[in-house]
Parts: sequence; structure tokens; C-alpha cells
Amino acid sequence: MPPDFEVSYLKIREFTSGIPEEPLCLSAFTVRTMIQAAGEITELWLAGNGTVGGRMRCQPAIQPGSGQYLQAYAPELPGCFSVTLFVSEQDKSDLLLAPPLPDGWRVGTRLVVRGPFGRGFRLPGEACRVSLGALEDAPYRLLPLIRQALAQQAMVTLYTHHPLNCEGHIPQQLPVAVEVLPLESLHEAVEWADFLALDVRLESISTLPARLNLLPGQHCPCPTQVLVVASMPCSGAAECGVCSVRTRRGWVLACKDGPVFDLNALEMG
Amino acid sequence: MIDKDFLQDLDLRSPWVNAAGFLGFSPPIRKVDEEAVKLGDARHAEFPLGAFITNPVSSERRTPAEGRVILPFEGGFLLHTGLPNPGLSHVLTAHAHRWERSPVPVWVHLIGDVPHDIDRMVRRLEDREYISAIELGISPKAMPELALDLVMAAVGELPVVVSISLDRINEAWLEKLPALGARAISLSAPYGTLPGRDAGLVSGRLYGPAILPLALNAMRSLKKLGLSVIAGGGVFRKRDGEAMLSAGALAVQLDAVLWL
Repeated sequence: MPPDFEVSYLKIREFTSGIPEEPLCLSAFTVRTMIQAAGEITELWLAGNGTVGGRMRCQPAIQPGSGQYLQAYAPELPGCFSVTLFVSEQDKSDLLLAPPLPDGWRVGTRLVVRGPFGRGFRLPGEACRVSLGALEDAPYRLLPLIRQALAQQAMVTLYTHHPLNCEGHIPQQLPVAVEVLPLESLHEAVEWADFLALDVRLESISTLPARLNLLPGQHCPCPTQVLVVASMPCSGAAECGVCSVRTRRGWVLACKDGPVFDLNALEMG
Repeated sequence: MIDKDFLQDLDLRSPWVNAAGFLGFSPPIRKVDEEAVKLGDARHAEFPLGAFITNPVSSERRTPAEGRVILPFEGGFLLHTGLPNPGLSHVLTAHAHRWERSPVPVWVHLIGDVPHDIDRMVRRLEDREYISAIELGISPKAMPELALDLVMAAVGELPVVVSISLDRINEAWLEKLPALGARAISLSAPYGTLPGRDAGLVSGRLYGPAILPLALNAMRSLKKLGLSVIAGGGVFRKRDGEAMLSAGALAVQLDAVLWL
């Protein structure tokens, strides 16, 4: 049995047999291969759009793949609920967290962290021209994939409105090997790249065909994966449906079946 | 006064149960629990809740709401999903075998706006020994006449628990429930409205510690009517739930705390 499941199980038993007076933590009823860890915020920084990112120390170390997510909550902050976190950079137990983070988190805030969850990006080993596009937000969630692509000697282009190195005090800098291009020319990536990765909010999926100059119903000729950014409060434990994504094969859940999907699997109409 | 017969019917192992929608369609099955069940000794299973309540299930597939969203506010969050589910037939195909192996009683939470649909679903479930009760979710928008018709359609061989949002506790039709054969009322999260992320307002269920005072108040009001009540809403600490039990609740449903 994965350790997280055992931990949750014991906590519920404590609750029902009368030990704790602290807020409860009963989640992770579903058996999954994930870790439960103790986290602590060690640094906060302002992103250019007014949101906050941060650095977290996490023991034991959790290593999400590109596009996978973590869930965390601060048990000492009343009224704070579990939030979805994406990691933009990692050095063993030291994780840089992509913005936005909850307002109440401060340096020293202790967290209960679980993960990794979900299906992340699958970068083909033979990809040598990799394009990435962040449609609404700054491309923090794509940074791990950029490093992965550079590590396999691929040429990398990034389409964004928010080049990271123009955003003031942020710890991340884009590697110089990455060519940054305006988002308006994202459709050119379809012709150039042999792998395309996109970061898009759930409510904006329908804008993808126009962004890529695709006709209604037309499949994208370039292998493309999409990180669908949605609230995933139950992280799959309850199938609550708030992160439901419409695909050509019906409704699926970003928290369990994603958050990364093949573009051609998505229903974008 | 606790309804002892009712508790016996439901075979509740502990007064703590999950609220519908917070743990999925079927319980996790641990090996130790499965073995206890196989040996006919389910009481030795270690599953820590008194019963497992399924996600809401409708007669046919329900797709997610167009404007599905979770919106935080001080003390909680608003959740609007549209209660998506694949419909009873698919749920049975995918989960009945897990219900059968469950170490605790399974209650199926049914939703519907047509009495005939509720009737059909309940009859399909009645011959399944591993289901202990029906929890009938009454939509906050259902008029009293319809709500009563839905309850009548649900009553049969299985005990029926009527789930209402705790903002409806003062409605007169609730007093008729015992006479119709409903065994208890369960209190579910109240409805509320918040400004959306864009223009306009969003309505949905409210969860979080801020709900607790409302839930305790609702609990007390219903007890005055002499109804058996399964309390819920805002329970984030053991003492919150114990206060509800002290006030006469048969059991306590846990909701958003399960997602921490």
C-alpha cells in the first residue's frame, strides 16, 4: 500500500477515535502512487502580473514530471484549502513553485504536500525542434519541459506574451538557447516544430484552433500536447467534475486523465 | 432521541460518514478489509468511516455544467459542477463490484427531477444486498410538491434518507417526510452566490468552516420537529462533529475536509 494511503487512513482513525483537535486531513482515499511530504515556504517573489510565486523545501522530496501537479494545504491557516501547485524548477527537495500561490502563504508557512498527480508531458526522445506556447499566463509551468528539451539538444522556441526575463524580480531566467517569439505567431510553430507543447486555461480551449490556424475539425499536423490549467480541488479522489474536459471520446477529468492531453484528442468546438 | 431501529437498519459502524460527492463512486478496498469481509467479519475491517455514500447518481448521464467553477471566499469555497455522472447503468457496471466488497455499508446517493426516474433507479438497486440505503438528493430548486413526489417514489424496501441543503430547513413540507416513510434527513451544504471571475454572479454549494454555525442551527431546528437528522456542513475538527452528535445527530457527514 502506498504510504500516503496509510497515513490518511491512520488520520481518519485518529479522528474517529478521538485523538486530534487540529483540522483534519482525510484525503487520499484512492490508492495512488504518490508521496505525502512536509513542505515549508522559504521564499516568495512577485511575478509581473501581480501574482506570487515561491520556493518550497519539501521532505521527503517529491519529483513531479513536466506537467504533473502537486496538491498542498497549510494546516495552520484556518480557512485555507488544498491548492494545485506546478513546479517550474527543482533541485532535489528545493522546489520553485509557479505562480499563483494563495494570498495567505508567507515565508515559513508549513504545508502538507501530496503528489505527484496526473499525466504530464511526454516529450519524444527524437524531437529536435520543440515549440512551446503559453496562451494566457507566463510560461512558468513550461520551464521543466524547456530544460528537458534542451537536455536532448533540441532547438526550442517559446511563444508568449510574458518573457520571464522581463518580469523584474524573479528567480527564473530563460536559458539563452530559447528563442522567444510573440504569441501572435504561434501558428508558425505548427509548420516548424516536430513537437509542440501548449499551456492553456480550461476556459480557453476553444480558442486553440484559431491560434494555430486550424480549420474546424482539422487535426494539427504537428504532434501537440496541451497542459489544461484548471482548478483540481479533489485531485481525482472524488471525481467532482469541476475540471471536466471535453474530448472527442467524451468527458474526462483534468485531475485524473490529464492535465496534459493530446491536442487532437480535445473537443475544441 | 436517537432512532435505534434506524441505526440498526443502516448498520452504521461509526457516526462519521462522507458526504456525497467527496469520495467518489466507490470506496477504496484495502486487502485487510477485503479479507475481513470475506471471512464474514466485516466489523473487524479497519475502514474508518461508518458508511460510504456514493457520488450523486442520476438515471441518465449528466454532463458537467457549462460554467463549472470553484470560487474561494473567506472561510470556504463555492463549488459549481452540475453534478456530472455517467448515469446509473454505467455506475453499476463500473462500481457495483467494489460496493459488493466494501467493508462498510454503501448508500447510493440518487438525484433526479422526475419521480418515475427515481422510482426506476431505486427498484434497480433494491435487489442488491450490499446496498444499505438510498440517500435522495433534493435539488435546491425543487418545489415542495415535486420534492414530496420524489420522496414517495424513492420509498421502498431500502431505507431512504432525504438530503436537503441546510438553507431549506424551515420549509413546511419537511414535516411530512416521516409519514411518507423517509427515515431521516441529511443536511447538505447550503446554496450561495458569489461574483464570478468575469462579469456576473455564480451560484453553487458552499463549503468550509464558515458553514458550521448554520449547520448546527439547522440541526437544532430539525430536531425540534422530531426528525432524525444526519448532520453535515462545516465540520473540520472532531469537536465540530461531536457538537452535532451531542445535539442529537444520528451521524455526521464530512465534506470538504476530505479534500485537505
